[in-house]
Amino acid sequence: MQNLKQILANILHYLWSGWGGVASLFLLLASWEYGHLKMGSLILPSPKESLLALHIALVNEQAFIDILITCKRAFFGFGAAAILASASGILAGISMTTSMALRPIITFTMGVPPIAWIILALMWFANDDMTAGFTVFVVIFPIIFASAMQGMRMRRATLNEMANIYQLSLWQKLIHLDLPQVISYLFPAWIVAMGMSWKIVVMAELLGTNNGIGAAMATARVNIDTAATMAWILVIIAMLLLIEYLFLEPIKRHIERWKPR
Amino acid sequence: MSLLSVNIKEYGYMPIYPNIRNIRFEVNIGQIIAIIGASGSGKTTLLKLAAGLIYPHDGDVINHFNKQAYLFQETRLLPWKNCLDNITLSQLASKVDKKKARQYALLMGLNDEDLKKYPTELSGGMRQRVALARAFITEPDLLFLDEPFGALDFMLREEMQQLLLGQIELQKRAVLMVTHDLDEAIKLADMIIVLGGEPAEITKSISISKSRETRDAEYIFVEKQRLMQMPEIITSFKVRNQ
Repeated sequence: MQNLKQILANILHYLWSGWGGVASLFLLLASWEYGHLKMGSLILPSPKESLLALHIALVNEQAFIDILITCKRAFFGFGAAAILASASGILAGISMTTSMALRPIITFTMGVPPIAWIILALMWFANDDMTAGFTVFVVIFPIIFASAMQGMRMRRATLNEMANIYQLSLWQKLIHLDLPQVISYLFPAWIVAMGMSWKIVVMAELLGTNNGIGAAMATARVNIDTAATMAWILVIIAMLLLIEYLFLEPIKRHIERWKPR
Repeated sequence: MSLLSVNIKEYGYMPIYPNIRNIRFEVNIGQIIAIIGASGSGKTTLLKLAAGLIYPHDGDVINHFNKQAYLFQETRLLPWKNCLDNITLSQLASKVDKKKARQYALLMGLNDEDLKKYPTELSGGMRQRVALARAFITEPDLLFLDEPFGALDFMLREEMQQLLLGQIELQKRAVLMVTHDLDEAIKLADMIIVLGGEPAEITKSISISKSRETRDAEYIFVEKQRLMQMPEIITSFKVRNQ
């Protein structure tokens, strides 16, 4: 009961702390409106026009299907990369030798621009889902991998010494000592990767697929429909905000509750 | 036969440049041995070697004690675990017993409220109590102390030493401790080992036969004056201070 009360209080506190964010969002909307007044509807449609275009798009059920398809691709690409890259990065970070050996490979893969991966994926896979999902996977994998590895390398040796005195097993050290330290490195990487995965999926869809938000934007471009483009941008941003602040941020707060504020 | 025999012929952080050389001593049940020396003389390194945290390049350390605990200069608590979970961490290798953890915490002067807190929410003295509880809950028969109370004020330090002594007397624990405080060494130890030179060697061993309970302030004062006249102690504390 006490715990439940505490959790409810925390949720309320968290929502209340959102006012600052809301204020800056409104400031952004105001400058958008100002830009529209200066440049006109063709270059930059007003927020109202964009919202109207969004409304029109969302009346059509195809829009929801597109959003779902994009979500699915980003989710699977991100999920697979987050799980595999975190696990393999942690394993690689245990040993100094593997970290040194893998560093140039990470630099190499991070150096390949996402657009190049999209072209390759388009040629390799006939399947739309695979093209977008694979591109997300290869682009964000090295970012998460490098963070996990770095997190493992930066563990405090002093704590390990203490655990050795009390004869903790390797597994116990991983759970109680290593993971809590690595998570501080992993979380920022996950958030960055999550943002990137959306951008990459939309880009891959725009270039090579027949459905999803990116394909819808390609149609808007052909029709020189700036308002529709802005509407789709709003959808992407809204999805990202929802995922980050309703999903990742509360988890992060819970995990890092021991950190003094 | 002694239960811990330390025989280090050579050890160095870089193999070609030894920090410690030709050190031999033994620790038996219920014995308290203090290693003294100037800061940077290799006391902590020697303690780590004796505890098996690092290994000598040449020589060996044979440990027949069942369970050991180590109190570091810093508390080395896990900041992401509350105090209760920090205490039970040392039990993970055997069996976690929260009830026993509570008993030991109470003995060390912690209450139930403190146990729910994270280490960052406690004062230095309270954190050290948690570390003590974590060490004693495993019921070690050999305890390594690396100046754990160095950062505390002298009243708290006195109290911590009493807590420690109570536990040691109760269970007949052996202790190998490092200190740069002669008073502390004279008050607690059965034998004092003086570390000096570069690479560090044992320059002098001093046995104290007077029983621990009868060592009063006056005895400690007189004994300290006597020790401070010894040439080995003067030189070993001077080497680094020049």
